[in-house]
Amino acid sequence: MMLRSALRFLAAASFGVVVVGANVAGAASLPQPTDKPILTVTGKIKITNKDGTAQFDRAMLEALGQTSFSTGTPWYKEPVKFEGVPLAKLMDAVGATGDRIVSIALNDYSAEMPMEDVRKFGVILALKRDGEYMTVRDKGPLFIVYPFDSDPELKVQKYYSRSVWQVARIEVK
Amino acid sequence: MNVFRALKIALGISIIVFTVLGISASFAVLDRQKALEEAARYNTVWAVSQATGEFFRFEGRVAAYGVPGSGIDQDEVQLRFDILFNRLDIFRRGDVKEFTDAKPEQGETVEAFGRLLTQIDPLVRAIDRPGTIARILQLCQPFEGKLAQLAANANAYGGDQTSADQHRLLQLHWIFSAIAAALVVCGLAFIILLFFQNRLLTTAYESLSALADDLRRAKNAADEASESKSRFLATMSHELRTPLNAVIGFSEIISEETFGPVGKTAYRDYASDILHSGHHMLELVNDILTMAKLDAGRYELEMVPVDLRDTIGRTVDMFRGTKHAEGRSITIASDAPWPRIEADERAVRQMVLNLLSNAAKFSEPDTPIEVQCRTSPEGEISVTVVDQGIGMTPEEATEVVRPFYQADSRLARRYEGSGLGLSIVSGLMDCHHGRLIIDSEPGVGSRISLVFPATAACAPNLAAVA
Repeated sequence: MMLRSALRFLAAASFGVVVVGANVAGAASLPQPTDKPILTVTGKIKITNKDGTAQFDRAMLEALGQTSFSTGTPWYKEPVKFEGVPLAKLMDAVGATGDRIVSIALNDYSAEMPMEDVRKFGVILALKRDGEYMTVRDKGPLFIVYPFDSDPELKVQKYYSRSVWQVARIEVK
Repeated sequence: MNVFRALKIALGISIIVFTVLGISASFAVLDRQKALEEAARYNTVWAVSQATGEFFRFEGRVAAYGVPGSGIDQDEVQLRFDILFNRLDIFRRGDVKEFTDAKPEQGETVEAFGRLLTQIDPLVRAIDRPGTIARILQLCQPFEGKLAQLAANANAYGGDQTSADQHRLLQLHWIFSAIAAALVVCGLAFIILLFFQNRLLTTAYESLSALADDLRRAKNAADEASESKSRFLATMSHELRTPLNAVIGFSEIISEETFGPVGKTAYRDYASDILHSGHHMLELVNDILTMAKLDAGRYELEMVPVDLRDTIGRTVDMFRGTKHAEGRSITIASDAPWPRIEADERAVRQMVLNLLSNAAKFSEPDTPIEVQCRTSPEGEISVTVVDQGIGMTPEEATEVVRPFYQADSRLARRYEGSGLGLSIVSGLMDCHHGRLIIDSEPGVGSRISLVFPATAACAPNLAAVA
């Protein structure tokens, strides 16, 4: 168990260095996931790591840098704290060039959002809810969340429907 | 006007009430719309249909797992099961919870579904054991129909909810429209009311202006008439005095037989009557002349220092010599301080004479008359004539200063007089910036005071007092 954690850490650290290096130097490369991938990014992306797609395991996503916020949502009675990767960082990591993002869930539900949303509203790809990793049984492993409480404009059906849970794939269009 | 006021108040209140109601309805509509907009509560129909789909998907994966070469591994089956589990969690929250609460039999289906998943959970983990696939499919099979029924009921419930929401929103819109219409009607009525009131006010203003013009003209005419009257009286009085002096002078010569006996006694008596009437008429003419001057504001005072003790003393002596004072006890209060004042001495004498004359006329001969003088703490100087005569009521006391007024008309016949005495005294006191105060009680007597202002006191006199 200890060995596995150490390996994950090393993989994440090396991936972080690579991503930062890529951002700085413009070099495009992604490490290979060391664990089972939980997210596949496809479409108009420049940086890939498997068959023209970018695959991420949890450690790779966490290595992109995380942020958190608490917000009320229609799905939980009380405000909850979400923690995860800013979608903007993910788009940078894969060198996204499209103007739309389609999020596809494990059950094949999909929703489209304009690329500008990710920076304008600070949308995150949440991995944790109230400090705990989200499982498939609890809308995990990845949940696209808008900070609804930060802007009244967000508290409408349009943005709620863009918040896809159990995200498995992201397609950049 | 009261009708307009009541209408305005009623309309004002109506407008306020309708405005408040309108704002409330508007907020209610907004709130409802916002609630609908925010109602991202996982749509019941969608959630149930997704769960049903996932259920069949799970069954399919379980069945495929048992088929060699299907490519379905245990992880895939577990993933489908976990997704299904997540659907159960959604069933227990939000809209679906409301639905199952509203439809208890469907709630029971959900609970049974939950029990099924709990029962299947360990089987999924051990799916590679022989017979497990068949067991899972056997357990799931009865729920195919139940979940389809749940979806159908959810669809009906969702439709009802949407209709109810739309109906409520429509109702709110109608209420809002009705309130807005009422507000418009009230507003229009208010404007019409204001318009009519404005017209009435304009008409009233024009009438008032016309009335004010009429009154101004009438006042000017009255002023002119009053001045003409005063001028006429002054002129006539002056013109009358000249022949009266001749009448008085010659009748006096005849009655006193200055140039020898007139013969028959009756002639001398007639001359005495003429003399008496002449004097009376001269008094009357003098009074009218004084009154006319006071009335026209042309009475000129000759202000000099007046020693009240001396002036009042001589006036009382003079009065004692008249026939009104015959046999009367007329005294001057010995303990009174008699200051010197700045006044018209002739006017002071005339005023005191008038008061003494009135006191003598309206009291019995055997009752005393006293003249008093006092200075008030404020410095006002009062000269008061006190009698124990017939007195006056308070109403009479206010009327008695009007020209040609006598409190009791029987007395007017009994006592000769012009009815100008107290009017003249009041006018002269006005000229001195003082007051005439009548303190009288019927059957008890009168105290009539000439009150001079403190400013009338002469400085040397004040020094003497100090």
